[in-house]
Amino acid sequence: MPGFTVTARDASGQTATASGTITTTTGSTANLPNLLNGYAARPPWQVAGVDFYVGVPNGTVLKNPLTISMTGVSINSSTHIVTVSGNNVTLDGYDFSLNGGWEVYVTGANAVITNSNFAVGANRLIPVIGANPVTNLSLTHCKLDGTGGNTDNLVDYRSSNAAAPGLISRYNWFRNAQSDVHGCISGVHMIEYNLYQNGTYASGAHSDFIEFTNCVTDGTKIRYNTLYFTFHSGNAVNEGIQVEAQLTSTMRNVEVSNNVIIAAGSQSQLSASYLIAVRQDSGNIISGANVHDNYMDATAAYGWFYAAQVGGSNPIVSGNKNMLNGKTINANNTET
Amino acid sequence: MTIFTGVLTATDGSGQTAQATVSINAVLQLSVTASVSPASGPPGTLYTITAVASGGTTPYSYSIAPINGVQPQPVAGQPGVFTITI
Repeated sequence: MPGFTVTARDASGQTATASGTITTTTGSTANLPNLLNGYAARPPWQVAGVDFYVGVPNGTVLKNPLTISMTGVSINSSTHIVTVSGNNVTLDGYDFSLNGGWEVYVTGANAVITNSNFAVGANRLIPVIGANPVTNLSLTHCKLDGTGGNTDNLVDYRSSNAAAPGLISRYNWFRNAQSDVHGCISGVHMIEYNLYQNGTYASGAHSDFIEFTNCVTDGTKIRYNTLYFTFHSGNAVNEGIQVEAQLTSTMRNVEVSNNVIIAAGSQSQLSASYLIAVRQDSGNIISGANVHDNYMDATAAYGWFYAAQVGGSNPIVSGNKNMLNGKTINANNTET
Repeated sequence: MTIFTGVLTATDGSGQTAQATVSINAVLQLSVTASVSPASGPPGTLYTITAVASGGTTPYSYSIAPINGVQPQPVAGQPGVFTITI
């Protein structure tokens, strides 16, 4: 239950405070309610997928994408691609897992995809693509499952508009990805309250849960997500949140905070490489990255922070916790 | 602020009396109550948080701390009213 505190101040400078709570309900049991059992330290906030359900709410009656008929949207029943070229389109309550899996290809502004189910299937389509001149693409309360095949990403956002709102991803359940979940290019992205489960699902898969390439951004926030790695025999291990200035990227003031990142397994059965990677490749820029209050378990990972550092210029690192013992994790992968 | 008024009466040996009135301006302690509507909802719900101050000295101003790291937004023209989507 999120809590709130209001402060009143009068003309003489007196102050008084009042507090309350908000109860979030989903009508659905949390996805992984026992995930944080047994840890010495757990986050003080409601954790996505643990304390509340994310994904398509139970009871949602999903519609066949073939029934979509609205201005600004076209469907191709042969390629199984829904193209959203109009602005302000909302797709609410569709089962895009049907017929071997559908792709929603968005070029319009302010599109909302919500309460919908996606699964990569025989068609091997990327479930959601935002492509130029897309801006402000919202994906909320959806489930995306990559079990059926390897694609480039589960959600691919390919905008060159750096200043505009980009991908807004909230309350989604991503699981069994055989590739990166989010591949983001430019824009101001908000990636919050999602559950990422069981990445690098198949042999040879490459699945950093969240990755940026060719990215120009200022103010992207990656917060309050749950990333849960599990061991898969024979697979490569990958990163959780990868904020890497690479391939002509300029990334300023990116916030990576309040995420729960767990690499389950053991050092002989690794499930992840590094949980957070903030890096600046030669010729690229990353500055002002703020990495704070992430709760992590690197039992089956190489470590918490890639290369024992938070890279770029003027990074801020504070309050990151090792859930196994409650100690603070420093940027150089020491504990205090 | 509450004004308390008192009347003082002096009486001399002959029985004459004189009165004076005094006023006390008492500043009551500031207090505030807060409520949220709706009290619960699924993720994505827009909540309105309303704070009402009393006592103290008007005018009042209000602030609210971030919730789950997100700053609730004040509603223009409605002091003490904030909204947030959770």
